Amino acid sequence: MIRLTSRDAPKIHGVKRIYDEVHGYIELSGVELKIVDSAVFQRLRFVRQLAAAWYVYPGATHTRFSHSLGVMHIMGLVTSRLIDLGYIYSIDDVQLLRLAALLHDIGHTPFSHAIEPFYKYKLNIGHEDLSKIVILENSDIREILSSYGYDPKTIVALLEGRYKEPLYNQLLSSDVDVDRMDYLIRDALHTGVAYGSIDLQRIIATLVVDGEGNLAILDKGIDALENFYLARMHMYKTVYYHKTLVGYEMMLRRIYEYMNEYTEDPLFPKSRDDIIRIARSGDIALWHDDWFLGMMIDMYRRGRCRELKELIEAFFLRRGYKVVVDRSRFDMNPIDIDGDRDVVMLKEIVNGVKSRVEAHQIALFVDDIKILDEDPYIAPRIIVDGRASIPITDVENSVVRVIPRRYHIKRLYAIGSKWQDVREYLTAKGFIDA
Amino acid sequence: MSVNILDTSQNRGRVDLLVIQLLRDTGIIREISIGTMEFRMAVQKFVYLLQVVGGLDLGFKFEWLSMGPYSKGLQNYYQRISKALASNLENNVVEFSVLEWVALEAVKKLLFNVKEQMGRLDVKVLEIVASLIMLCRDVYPKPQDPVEELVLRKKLLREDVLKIWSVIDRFGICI
Repeated sequence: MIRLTSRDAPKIHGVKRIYDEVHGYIELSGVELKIVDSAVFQRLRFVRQLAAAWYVYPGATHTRFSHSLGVMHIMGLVTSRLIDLGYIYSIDDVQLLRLAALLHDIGHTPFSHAIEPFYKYKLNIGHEDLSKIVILENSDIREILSSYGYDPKTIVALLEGRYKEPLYNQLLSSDVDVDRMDYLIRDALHTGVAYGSIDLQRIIATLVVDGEGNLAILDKGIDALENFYLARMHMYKTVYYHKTLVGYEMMLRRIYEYMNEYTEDPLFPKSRDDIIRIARSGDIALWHDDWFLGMMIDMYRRGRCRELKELIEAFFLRRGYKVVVDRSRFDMNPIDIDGDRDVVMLKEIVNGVKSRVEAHQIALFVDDIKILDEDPYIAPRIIVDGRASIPITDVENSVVRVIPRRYHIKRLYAIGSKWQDVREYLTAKGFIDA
Repeated sequence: MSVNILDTSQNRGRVDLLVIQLLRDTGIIREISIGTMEFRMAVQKFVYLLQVVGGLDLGFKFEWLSMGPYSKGLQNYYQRISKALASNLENNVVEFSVLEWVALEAVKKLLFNVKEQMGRLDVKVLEIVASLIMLCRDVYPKPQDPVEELVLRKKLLREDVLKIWSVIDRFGICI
């Protein structure tokens, strides 16, 4: 591999600068500016990064638009470092990686993670698949990329981790990838969760590539990496899976399910083909949070479905799903859904409480969140004493060894108006203390 | 009930049974210790082969990493498979659907042919098989010569890789 010095390192030529609240000025190249100016990318200004988190953290109104710019910027910083070290030597590769970073969230649905499980379950389509559809099917994006000599399929391969160069796949999708680096800082800033922030400069300054071609961190950067994991753990608990926030996200999803059933609108796609159709026509540009909120208001006024009206009212008046039982905890192992006593109990409660509440008034949430990749061959590697590269999980004195691997979330929610009834039932049955 | 892990966990429920069957039938179980890195590697490569060679849609997405095809989603299954193996469940008779049997047989047929060609079948060979298939089917842009790409990238013996490639080529797996 050709080793370049920083003096020789090729640079992306910026044609425009945008001021970002996290990184300061972000430079855009010609092709990046064209992408940013396209209607499908501008849509991301109306997709909030943390779905309904602003119901708990009022400042969390930042969008996928600023996050996407941030991820591209960090990719620029990381690739500069790798160019300096001689692991990347083509300016085209840098541009390709920045474009993939810029486009990585292009397929998020309205309210992102709140709504996406609906499509995952119904059509087996996740937001990565949606991004692929947009990049390959939207003529604006396809033509912009092609006119600058970039193959849309290559961008998709990078986003899917199928690119021929494993190092590039790691940059976009690994425990310490550019996406996580941006969202942890940005989300911590906007929620005000101080212990969610990370030392980005230190992580990048100590990034290297080991003998196997894997991304690694020099041992002098281990504190920054440990802090990264601790920040992530705190953010999962206090922000991403905050009990109230999850309640409102489930409520939005249920509203979406009802509306998908009751509304014949092209922006409620019923199949993969429908999604391809709105991506091709450009209609997808209006598929965002504000569109959905507008549809909710419209539906509420028309009031065709009683359950839906009740849910929409509860959402807008902030009387949504409130947690009744919470058995969430950190753990070292994956959850055993069938054998977990808490999950069995919560299911029992759901069955028992049916006579007191309607199905839409209660919600069960069970999830198993991975805090860190502990697989030795994909966990972040540390270069110890300038020689061996070992997984951080094997570093003897590292606090990462004792960080919980999993966050098991096991909660039962009831709509605000029925919360007291359900509590009383559970107390009477001895499930919870009075 | 809301859509979350309770729904998605059902679809992949038989992955552990399929992997255990392959571990046992191919004899790789005798080459590895449960829970080790080699064990995890075997799980990863078997599931990749079940999907690509066996045509079974288990819903795992594989990335191209330095050790070949890898799916993050499988991290949730290592423990389940380890537990089942440790409790001797692998000796239980499992009923597979026709599609599952077809997939298992297709993977075994390929691996037994590789074993015949190589004189051995271990996790390293499994890694080469899965990597060559990923290089010729899923990686983009597709390398002109998957053998050369793998030899250079992983510093493997060209002769070994060529032997395995000849079997894969004969099976018409690459598209």
